[in-house]
Amino acid sequence: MKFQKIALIGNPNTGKTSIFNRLTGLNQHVGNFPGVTVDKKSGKLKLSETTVEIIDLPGTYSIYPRSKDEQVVLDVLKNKNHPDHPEALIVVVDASNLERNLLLFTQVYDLQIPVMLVLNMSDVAFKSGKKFNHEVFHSRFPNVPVVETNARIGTGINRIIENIEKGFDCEQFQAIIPEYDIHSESNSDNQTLETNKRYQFIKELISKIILQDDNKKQFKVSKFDKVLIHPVFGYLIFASILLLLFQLIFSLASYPMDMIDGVFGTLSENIQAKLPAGLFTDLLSQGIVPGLGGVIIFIPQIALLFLCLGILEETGYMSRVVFIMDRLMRPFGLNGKSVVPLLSSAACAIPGIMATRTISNWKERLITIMVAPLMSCSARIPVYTLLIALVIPSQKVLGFLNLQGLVLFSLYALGLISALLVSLVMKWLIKSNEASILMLELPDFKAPRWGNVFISLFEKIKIFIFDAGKVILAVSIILWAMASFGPGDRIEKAVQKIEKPVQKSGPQMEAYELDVKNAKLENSYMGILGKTIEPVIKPIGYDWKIGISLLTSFAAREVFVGSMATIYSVQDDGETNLGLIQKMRAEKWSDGKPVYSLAAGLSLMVFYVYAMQCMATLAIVKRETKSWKWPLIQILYMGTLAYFASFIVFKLFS
Amino acid sequence: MKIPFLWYINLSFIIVNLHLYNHSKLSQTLANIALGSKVKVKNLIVSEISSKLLEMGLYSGQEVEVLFKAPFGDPIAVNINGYVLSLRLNEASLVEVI
Repeated sequence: MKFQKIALIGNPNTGKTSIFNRLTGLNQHVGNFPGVTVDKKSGKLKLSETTVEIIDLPGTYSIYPRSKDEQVVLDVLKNKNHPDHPEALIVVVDASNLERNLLLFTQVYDLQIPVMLVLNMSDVAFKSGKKFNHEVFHSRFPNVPVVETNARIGTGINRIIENIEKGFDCEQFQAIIPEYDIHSESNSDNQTLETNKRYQFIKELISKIILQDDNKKQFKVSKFDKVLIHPVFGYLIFASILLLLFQLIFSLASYPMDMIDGVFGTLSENIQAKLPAGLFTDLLSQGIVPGLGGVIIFIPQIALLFLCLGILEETGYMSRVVFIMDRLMRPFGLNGKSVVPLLSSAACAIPGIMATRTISNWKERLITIMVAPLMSCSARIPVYTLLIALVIPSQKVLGFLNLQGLVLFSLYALGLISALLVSLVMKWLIKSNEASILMLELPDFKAPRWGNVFISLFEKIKIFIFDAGKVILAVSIILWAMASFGPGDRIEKAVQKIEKPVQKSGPQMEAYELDVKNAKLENSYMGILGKTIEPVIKPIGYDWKIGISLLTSFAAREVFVGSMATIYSVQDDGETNLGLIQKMRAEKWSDGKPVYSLAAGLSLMVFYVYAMQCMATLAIVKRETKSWKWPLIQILYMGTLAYFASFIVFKLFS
Repeated sequence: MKIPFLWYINLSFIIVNLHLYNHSKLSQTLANIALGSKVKVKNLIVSEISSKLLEMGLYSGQEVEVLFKAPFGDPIAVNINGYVLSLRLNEASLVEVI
């Protein structure tokens, strides 16, 4: 029997992902299960003659679903017509914890799908000399191949592949629960009864198949746990790790980011200089190349963040974070599991929102999704740094604190505090009678498996480039087009109105050229749109140019800086080498007051803390909540908060 | 005339209290077990999450040891057959132990 589609299934923390990575390498693909939002990880395993698709099902303790993640497993397994229904299953069990792990094995065995059992031995199980009696197991499950592996170092993987090549079936099937029908087991009393029967079976089986059981030995609380969950040190360590992580991201990421910035800048200039002048050259040098640069520049930050989070997850530290944070998050209607999604949102809300799938309670998950974009993401950093450099003087406060750094910190704090307060409000507004549960396994501390860390890192970057990158690139091109074209001959008419100086060179001609650029931009589609909203945003201190950038920011926040540069470089003739900041500083209202006053700058920063200016995030929220209702509520509540908070700040400081 | 009646009420209160006291002693749950003590699961109080608790290995007769508690005493971490499960106090209070 040749298989075409095989699924991997197992409890969380069993090494299932390691085995999947060993089998498929980088030959992986992240897609969707039809009708549900859970990611479908699949990969290709090349055999001598054929290729087999391996699907990595989400980790689960039982085929009876408790969360949306687990629902998929049941859907795929029970429905023979499901497009992802596998011909065979590989059940990965942790050999050091057979009893609980075998529960899932007995459940899927009873579905009469051909099953292979992979006993993933941790180093600990190997050292303790645990022996598995294959003969006894084989006499009870004659068709089930058993492979012992150590996924960490890669032993036994070849045996898995051999068995796939050979094929296995379920001809001599002997049910554990006779007449087992998963469709009728939706009742929770029946489930309890059935699970108890399975445990009885497993206990008997284990007494026969485990030759040397050392489960009775004394279990010691690890030294790490004593410190990491300590009421004082636990939180101190968590705070220090966060501080270190963000320091690392900001200090290390700036080098590759400056390089990428430089490379794309040079590329743009060269294209403009070398290619014949015209529409295509402009599109390439002002639209496409800066757009690509705007996508790629975020990769260093995202890569560093997911590298750090991946390591923390792999070592087992993340579950300790959930453990010590749960009690603190509960009053806000959140869960200890909300901490990681919210932290990830400090890099980018998209992976953060996708990470909420581990929260089984719908209400807690929804609240986490709704407030995640309030955490200051990395896309806001370029906006914050530009505005801070623009309006906040670089001076010391209390002798050692840098005022600019302090403002940046306050913006992050404002985002976090607002996220918690909004959660509190939503806790009262959203009604639910689903029980909130935590129940999670605290895995042993272990060294990270670098293969897993890097493969998941690679995947996240891929998702960012292809999901968010598309939007950023598209918006860059639209931006360029909107700034270059206007309705009818409106631009030409406006330009004709300006008086030409007699002299063809000198300051008069330069002033004339600036006026022409101004007129062109003001009469482009972008200028018209920005001017249309000026009356609405003037009370919070913004002119129509900021208006344009706010509009373009709705695609992605970082576009603000890019479109500011576009707006001012369109206005600039390219000969003066004034930086963007100097140009913005020179910007005046018609009455001569500077546009970028302290009040307007702060108001703009606060606006960026609150406003939901990320189309990609909205798309993710829609996908995760399966309706436009929640993203619409999100854009409305965040927009309202942004407007009123900015208004208050502007009035306070002007 | 009224005194015996009041006595009767008082007495009934004492009986009820005694009964409650005994009952609470009998139905000790995982939520009120001291750190480091080993107990056996007696029964799971029927709830939405009882099958989930069962799937995590908390069947009747299972040996459980309370390993450590989070900073505010909630959630707690228990050793079940060689692995560590963390659960909230309200979840642990659904597990009757002896």
